[in-house]
Amino acid sequence: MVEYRIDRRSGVATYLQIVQQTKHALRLGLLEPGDQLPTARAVVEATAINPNTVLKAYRELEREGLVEARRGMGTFVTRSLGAAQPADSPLREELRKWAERARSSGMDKDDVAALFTSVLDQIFEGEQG
Amino acid sequence: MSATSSISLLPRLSGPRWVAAHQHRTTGRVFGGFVAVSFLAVAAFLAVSAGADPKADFAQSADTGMTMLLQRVAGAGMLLPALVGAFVAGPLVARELESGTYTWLWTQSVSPVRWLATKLALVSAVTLSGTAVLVVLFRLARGALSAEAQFSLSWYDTAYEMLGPVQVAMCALGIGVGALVGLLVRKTVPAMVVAGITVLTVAWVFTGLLRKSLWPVETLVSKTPIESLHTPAVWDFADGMLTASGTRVLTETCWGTEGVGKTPEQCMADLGGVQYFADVHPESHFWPLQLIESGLLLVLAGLAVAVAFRVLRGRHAGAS
Amino acid sequence: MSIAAIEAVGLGKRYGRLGKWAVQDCSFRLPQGQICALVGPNGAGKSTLLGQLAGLVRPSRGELRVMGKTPGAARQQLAFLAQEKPLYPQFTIEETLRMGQELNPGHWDAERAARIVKEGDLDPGTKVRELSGGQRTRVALALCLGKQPDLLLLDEPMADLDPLARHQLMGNLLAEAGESGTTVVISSHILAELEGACDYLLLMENGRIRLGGETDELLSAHALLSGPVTEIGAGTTVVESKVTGRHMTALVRRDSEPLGGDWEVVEPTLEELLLAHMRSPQAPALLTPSAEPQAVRAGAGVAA
Repeated sequence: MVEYRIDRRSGVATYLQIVQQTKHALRLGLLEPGDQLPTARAVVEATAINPNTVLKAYRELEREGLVEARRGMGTFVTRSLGAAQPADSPLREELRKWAERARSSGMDKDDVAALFTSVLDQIFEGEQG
Repeated sequence: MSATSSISLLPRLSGPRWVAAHQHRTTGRVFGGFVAVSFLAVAAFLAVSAGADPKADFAQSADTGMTMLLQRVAGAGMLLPALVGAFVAGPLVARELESGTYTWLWTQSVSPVRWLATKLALVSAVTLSGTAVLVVLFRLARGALSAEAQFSLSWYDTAYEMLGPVQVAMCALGIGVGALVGLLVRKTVPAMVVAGITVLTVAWVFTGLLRKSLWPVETLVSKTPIESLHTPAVWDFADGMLTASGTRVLTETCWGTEGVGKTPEQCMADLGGVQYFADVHPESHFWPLQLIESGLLLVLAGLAVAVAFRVLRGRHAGAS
Repeated sequence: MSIAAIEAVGLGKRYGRLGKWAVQDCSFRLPQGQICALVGPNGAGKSTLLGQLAGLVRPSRGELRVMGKTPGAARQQLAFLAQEKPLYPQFTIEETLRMGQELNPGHWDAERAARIVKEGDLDPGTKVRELSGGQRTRVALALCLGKQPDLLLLDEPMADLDPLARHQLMGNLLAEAGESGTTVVISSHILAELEGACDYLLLMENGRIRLGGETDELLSAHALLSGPVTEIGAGTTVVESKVTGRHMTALVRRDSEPLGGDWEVVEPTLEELLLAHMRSPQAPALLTPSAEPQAVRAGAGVAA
């Protein structure tokens, strides 16, 4: 089960925050196919956001084929985000080594993050988050 | 008293009646208790005076005690309609407006008009029946008093209201005036004061000014002094002598003539009086006077209620 | 188009014959199912407008329909919570809820009312006078929701609550409203309280509606410009502009695209949008299409 944290100051639309946090949980394997998303009611009660916002986010996830609303039962995960890499995957290992090199070259965490983000932005330009 | 037991005391009330009754249950209990205590006191007194030799000491002291009590009650009787008016104006109506509970009450499925109608119907049922019981008790107790004791509770004097429907009608007027004042003044304490004073003023107008004119006055004429003037049976408001031509010489013009060695009668005779007269209401006028006055009071009460509903409808959209 | 939750045309209210107009020339429409923030400075006329919507205040002029009816006729369908949360202090919570049941025969949801009270860990036997501000608001809200209204009007409901109570109550309220499709109007002069919770917005000032519509659409209808001092095109409505040295920021309506100029253009936040309008009383009113009143009923006279 995921718990959504809504940051009103982030400037990111509330429904997008829910979509992104759900995807994040799917990538990290916190949510797997068959798992149930919290009911809209539970999300609204916990976060005090507009119920339509939650429904909009769930509809968006459904449209992307990640979840499925089953009448009277709730919303269930249908597909994991396959690109997610387990903790011991080669890609992760490469990235870890790269980060260590960056640190030993004198960069601090913020520098590394900025560099990483700018490369990501360059490579995935034009694609929606 | 706990909530559950007081709910079970009112088993058949529902809807707005339940709300109003539940809201004012303490006042209702106090009033009911007062009526019940009065009932017990009068019942005890009737039992004593029926069974006992009237010459016995305790019967006489019961008689004196009850006479004093009834005099007090009759004197305070005027306050009951004023209290009813103050209660309706303040706690019943103005408090809802002052505290803002009307914003909730008047947005329920039950309309404001039904809310007011329910409250007034409920308070009328309790107050008017209770007052009617008090009036009957008063009459029973007075009827059992010795003849001389009844002197001090003559029918046209302070006991007048408590002896008949006028007291009940006064209370009805209190309810009407209270409803209207409560809606207009909208603050609990000022509304209570205004309503109380208004009811007392109306009562005073009837007692002091209107009452004797509500039924044709009888003029007694006699060659000899009219004895019945000095009994509690006759309500006398002008007496004296008539001259041969029929001109009136009032007794009061001759007051103070004892100082010069004349009785008022001699004084009036000197002024040309040949026979005695008196303008009176005999005791037989009691019921006509009571019924007409009650009718007028009920009309006033009805008017006040009608205006109150008009005010309610005029102030608030969707009141009806 | 389905019946609007609220439709007002030229609504006005003046207290006394010569008094100031508390609400004037107020026209807007609120579609059903929205959670609507009614915001504006103190004294803007929010409470008077809510009183009119609730049928407590008779409009001096104009037309008003609530769920397609006059407010008086819609009394079964609407619930109103005044700012003071008036309740009978001598009643227990249980008695207070019973009162709701007695005054709404046939459409009282006792279970729902009890649930809302229970979510606040309240003992039904407690007298109302012993409750804290937040608990009192909760009971008053239970009373409103137990009635199962189609339209719920709340006047500054959270004003005197601590942040935790505010968050919990708002959560309960929104969950209940969302589940039953209730239209909610919440007035407030503190925007932060409503941001995120409301998808519809009415900005009221000096008795008039200045902005009305879906929050998203109102935001995207505006742009926040910043750049060197430049003349803004004549076709563009400038809500507010500020010059600092050679730098200039402006909040404008996107009524003529493209905006032109050497601007950095971003969408304003809700707070920026509202503050800019409140600082600029001359800016024209804006209603999105869904907030434009359709003709109420032709020639229906003053709705009373």
